[in-house]
Amino acid sequence: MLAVALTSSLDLRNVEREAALTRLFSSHASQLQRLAALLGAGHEAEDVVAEAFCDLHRKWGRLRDPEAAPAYLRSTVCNLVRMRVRHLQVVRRNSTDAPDDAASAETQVVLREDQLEVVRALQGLPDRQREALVLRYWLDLKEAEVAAAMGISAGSVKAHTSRGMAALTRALEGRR
Amino acid sequence: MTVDTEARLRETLRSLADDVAPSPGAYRRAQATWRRRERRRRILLVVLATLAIGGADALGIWALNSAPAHTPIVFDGPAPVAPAGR
Repeated sequence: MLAVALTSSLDLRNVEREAALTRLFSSHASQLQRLAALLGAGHEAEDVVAEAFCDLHRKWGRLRDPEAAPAYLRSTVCNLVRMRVRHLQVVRRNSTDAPDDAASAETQVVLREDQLEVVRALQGLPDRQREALVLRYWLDLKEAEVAAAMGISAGSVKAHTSRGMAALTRALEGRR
Repeated sequence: MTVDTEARLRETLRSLADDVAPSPGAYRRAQATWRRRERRRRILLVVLATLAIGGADALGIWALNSAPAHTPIVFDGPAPVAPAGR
């Protein structure tokens, strides 16, 4: 009797979890894929998003509130892309003829010359600064939300954003 | 100058993002992956539980089997004698 009750309760929880993840996927997956691509995931942006959803599926029971799921997914995508970028950097350092997987965005998208300059300047920034700028100026997140996504303090976000913006301005002025 | 940089940055990021389109089968693939992992996790859990219970049973049987047959396992004193008259 107890086993039957426990099984049906687990089944109900699974159904709820699947339904919640389906809703989240349809509302957030495309934005997360774009975020991953902007942060440097390249062709693996879709895999990064799938991995983030698998992680959320595994930890669904530990989520304090279903409303926190989008922020959790954003943070997971940021972490996964950072790990991937570091991995690629190590691969490139150890191999002279490693394929340039981060086939820079400008090779795939038709951008104007001034936009290409911004892309090149962005690629020259340290990972954290680029991440802070993308989250702040593309997703329009508040400082606290950027901090949660990056797993750092709001003060550090402020520092990364202002340093990144200053470096970007300098780089763009230097190219004129 | 920062305002100009900000505007350029926003515009460039928007252009780059607009070009990224999710593939139609993305949800099905992701769902298949998380279901497969969940199944694997459950199988692993069942295997570990079976091993733990089986190990404990084997240990208990071995302990019982290795005790001398004439030595009582639970009570080793003389059996209590019921008082007369009861």
